[in-house]
Amino acid sequence: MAGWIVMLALAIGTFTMKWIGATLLPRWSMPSRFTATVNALPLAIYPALVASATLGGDSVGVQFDARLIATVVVLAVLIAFRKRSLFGVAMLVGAAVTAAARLLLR
Amino acid sequence: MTDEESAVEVGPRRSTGGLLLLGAAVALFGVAYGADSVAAGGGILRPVLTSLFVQGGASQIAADGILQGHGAPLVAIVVGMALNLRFMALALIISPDLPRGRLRRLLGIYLISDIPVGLALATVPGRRRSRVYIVVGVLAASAWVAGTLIGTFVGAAFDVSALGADGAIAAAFVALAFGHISGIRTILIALVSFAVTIALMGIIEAGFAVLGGAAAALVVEGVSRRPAAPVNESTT
Repeated sequence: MAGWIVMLALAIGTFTMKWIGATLLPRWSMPSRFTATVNALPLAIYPALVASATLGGDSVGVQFDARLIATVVVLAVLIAFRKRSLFGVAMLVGAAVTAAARLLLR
Repeated sequence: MTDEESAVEVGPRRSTGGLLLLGAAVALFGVAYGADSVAAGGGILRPVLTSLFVQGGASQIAADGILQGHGAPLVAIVVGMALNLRFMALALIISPDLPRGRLRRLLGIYLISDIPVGLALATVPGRRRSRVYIVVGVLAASAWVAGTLIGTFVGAAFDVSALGADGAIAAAFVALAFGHISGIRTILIALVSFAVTIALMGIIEAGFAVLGGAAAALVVEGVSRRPAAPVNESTT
């Protein structure tokens, strides 16, 4: 029962947040300084997600495992080939390196 | 060219192969989530419906983890919502590029998540950005739900973590972040976000740590932003 309640709350809450961001917030007139901050949000958020996805564990604390190796390798690939679109390749490399590292480190 | 301008001018050329890889990676992550959820006694229907209605992998996994550890449902909800709070910011950014029409716009709002918004922002504003957003959004959403469904059936057969799906997701965020890097200032902002998040992860839940890291980065961004040039400059 608890799982269903959590699912319902997350579904309603998440959609509501998206709706507020897409519908209500744009109606407020914003000073140019705020607009610049909004434009910088992806640059602020994505590296934080990298940290969470690379080192996050089941609870509070950091967890060093194969994901860290994959993240370093992917970053090196992106720097080496920075003139090309490599999003899909990056995900494939990330999965492959993680899987290989887990196999070797077992 | 300002950092903001250079950020939107970074335009990765998406190919069918690239989209297929993206879909496969997201589906793989969904398989891992579905398998873990079933293994923890979540049944088949609940994880699939959760993926369908929440569309937030990190929040779903975090909430499941709290419930499996006998944490309170309210904590699971709060942590999940904290992880998804960034969707409000992403919604604000992509808002101008969402479809017109009430139902189509609601669908566009439903599809908001990191990868569709991130890839759309890497294209030039306009009709192309809107198209990219919808195509990638539908692909990612479908792959996530389909992967979850597959995971609930086949997850017991093998160790899905061996497929490295979580590494693929981390790689996706690396690629999205990299697309916004264009100079020393943006590197500094990204490093602050990364470092502060790690530091906070040692003491608070990851969802709140992500928000704290992003907030710190925005402070650095605001402090380091060059003032706009005066409008009426005399030239000789």
